[in-house]
Amino acid sequence: MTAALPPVPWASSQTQRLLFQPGVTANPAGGTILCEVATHPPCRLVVADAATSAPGGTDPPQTSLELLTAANDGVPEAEALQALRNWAEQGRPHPDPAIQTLSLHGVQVVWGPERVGVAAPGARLPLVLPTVLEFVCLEQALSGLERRLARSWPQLEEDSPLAFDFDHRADRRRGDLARRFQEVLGLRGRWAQLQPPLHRPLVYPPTLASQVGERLRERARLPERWESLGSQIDVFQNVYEQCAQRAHDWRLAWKGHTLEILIILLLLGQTLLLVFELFAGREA
Amino acid sequence: MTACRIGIVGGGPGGLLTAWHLQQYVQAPCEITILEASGRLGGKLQTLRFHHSPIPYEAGAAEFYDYSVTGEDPLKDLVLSLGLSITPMGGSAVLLDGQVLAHLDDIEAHSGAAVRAELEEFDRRAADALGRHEFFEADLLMNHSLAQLPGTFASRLERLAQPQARRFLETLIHSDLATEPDHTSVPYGLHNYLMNRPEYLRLYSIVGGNERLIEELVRRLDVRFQMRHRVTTIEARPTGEYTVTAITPGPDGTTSSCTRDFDYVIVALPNPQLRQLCFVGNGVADEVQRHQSHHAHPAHYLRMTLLFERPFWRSVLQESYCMLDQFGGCCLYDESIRNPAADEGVLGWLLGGKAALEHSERPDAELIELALASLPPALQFGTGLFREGRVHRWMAEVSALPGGWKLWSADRRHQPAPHAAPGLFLVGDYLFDSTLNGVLDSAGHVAGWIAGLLETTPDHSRRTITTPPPQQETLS
Repeated sequence: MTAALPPVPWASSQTQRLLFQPGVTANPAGGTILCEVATHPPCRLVVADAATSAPGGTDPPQTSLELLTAANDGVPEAEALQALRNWAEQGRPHPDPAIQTLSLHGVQVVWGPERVGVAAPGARLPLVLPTVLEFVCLEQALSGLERRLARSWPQLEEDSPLAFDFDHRADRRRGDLARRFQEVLGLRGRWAQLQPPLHRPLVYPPTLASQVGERLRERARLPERWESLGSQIDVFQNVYEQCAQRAHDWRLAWKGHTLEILIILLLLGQTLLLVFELFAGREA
Repeated sequence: MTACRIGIVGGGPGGLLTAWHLQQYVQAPCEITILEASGRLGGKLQTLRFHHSPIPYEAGAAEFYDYSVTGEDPLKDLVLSLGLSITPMGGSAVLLDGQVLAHLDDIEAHSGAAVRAELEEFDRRAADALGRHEFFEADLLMNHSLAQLPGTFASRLERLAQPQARRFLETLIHSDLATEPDHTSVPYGLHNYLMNRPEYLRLYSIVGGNERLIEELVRRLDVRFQMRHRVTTIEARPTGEYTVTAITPGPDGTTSSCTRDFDYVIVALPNPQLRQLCFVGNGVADEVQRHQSHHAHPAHYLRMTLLFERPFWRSVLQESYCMLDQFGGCCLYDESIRNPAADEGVLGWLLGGKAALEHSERPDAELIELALASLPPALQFGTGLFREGRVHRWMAEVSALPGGWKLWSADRRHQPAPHAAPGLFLVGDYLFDSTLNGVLDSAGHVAGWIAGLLETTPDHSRRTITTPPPQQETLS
């Protein structure tokens, strides 16, 4: 617990600061791992304590989250949901459209970009919490990909003419294009690895945890967002594949042209020598 | 070349879907006439409104089965091709002893870990016994699985060691069966249990009311409708034609009869109503009687729909429907969840089987009182918000599939007298799996058959009538 966290709505609640680590190879800060999505490398939610700090190196940036868990025994549903919402909206615009709520069979969940609150009867909180954390992990992983792709659109627009026409000036950008193509393929890989946990078959007979998990995935439209992301990655992949093809074609053409010029020069030299020999022979 | 005359008796989903299929399949010119005894089309698909509110509710079939999670779903394809919007329906809760059991954790808290474990084991065994493919192929299910799984569904439930587990399951599926487990085969009982699994089946309804399917079909049908024509007699004549006699009400309360000749007659009525028709011809009546008796396994529905000032139950019941341990196990629909803009709330009780039959004799007011009293204690405060109630009785309108019952081949089911009356066909949900999807299958089978006959014998009036063999109980 840290002093910077917003006040909690009722006494039995507990808050934690979590770090979402997307695709880190190790757990550099050594915090307790709360949830892990089995991608390669894995996405993790870890508890951030005083010793935890953002890792250096090439690992992607971490996202900080605040998690509130509360036993809502005896608290009316509407009251519990409102309290969670108030907590999640502190310091943010009200009402905040980014903050969503779910209330199902005595469980209330509130989640937004920076805060997640879960309230359930005390005996059932341990059953529900792993499902909510897994959802948070998946949602963060998907949001991270969405953000990365959204940032890349201007660059794609800049690069897309090269998918049609490639010249000697563009050849200087060949290395950058290759790197961006690799990044897109990396994104495609991370996107594909999210499919199994996102499209898990519905559980029957249902458990409270499975129902909450299904509702959260539906409410956050995770399957639809995943599919939409796939379509966007298709566009990137198509453009950079075309760029690669054009660059390759241009390289081949350039080599061919160079060779042709060399041959022409050689033929020209040979012709000049022949003419020279001809005149020299006549004079002799 | 004269146009082929096709008469369809019954303006319910079976009759209309047969006409729809005929329009699609038959290339030769034909005149289709639908004779309907009542003043409305649609039969068990009926969307009504209350006197006190325009909010719609389903008086008949409340939902459609979505098989598209497993394979092709011609009914859903048809609904969507007609431009209708659909909305998914779902519900997993069972109200037992006044408590909402929405999931296994609730069941464990209510009945103990042993009951939970037994239910999980039952579910595993059910899924082992009937895979998704067998579930999808309803005909296959009823043919082959019967041999492997003899006995009634009640015998399967009796194996459960925990009485609470059995009670939970009986409550869960009773209203879907529309009969008692001891009148149901093991496959059909498992079928009705497994339809709760989302990977086997989903449910949906049509936005604006399920009767919109009928409206859209009727708009697209180029057929002659003869309303208030109650068919009394169908005569198979030696010429191969069929004379249909119907009674129509006159303007001054009298009735008159009229006759019409057809080349083909398709009777699309619930099985018990076949007994009310008189079949004339060389042994036709006996053949139809045999057909009717073979399929006479009546199941019943009773629907009570109540309008309330507001949907006061939403804090307890949050899905499209739940199962209630009253009336031998009934389904409680939140009809108003399909109309989120409405202020009022509508709850519908769907009683099935013996309870439906027993309660059908009671007056509406008494049934409405019983419905209100059946609400769990946590919702009793809402009875004061009651405004209006409606009761709809569907006695013997659906069929049970009892254990040990042998299914005839599809042709045999649809053509009751192949020798004496080869142009007489039957269509109905009871010939498949007692669902709207089954009606569509049945209608498609008959329409395809007639289209084939018209292709091969365009001179339809020269079909020959033959003497039936002495015994034709050939079963598939």
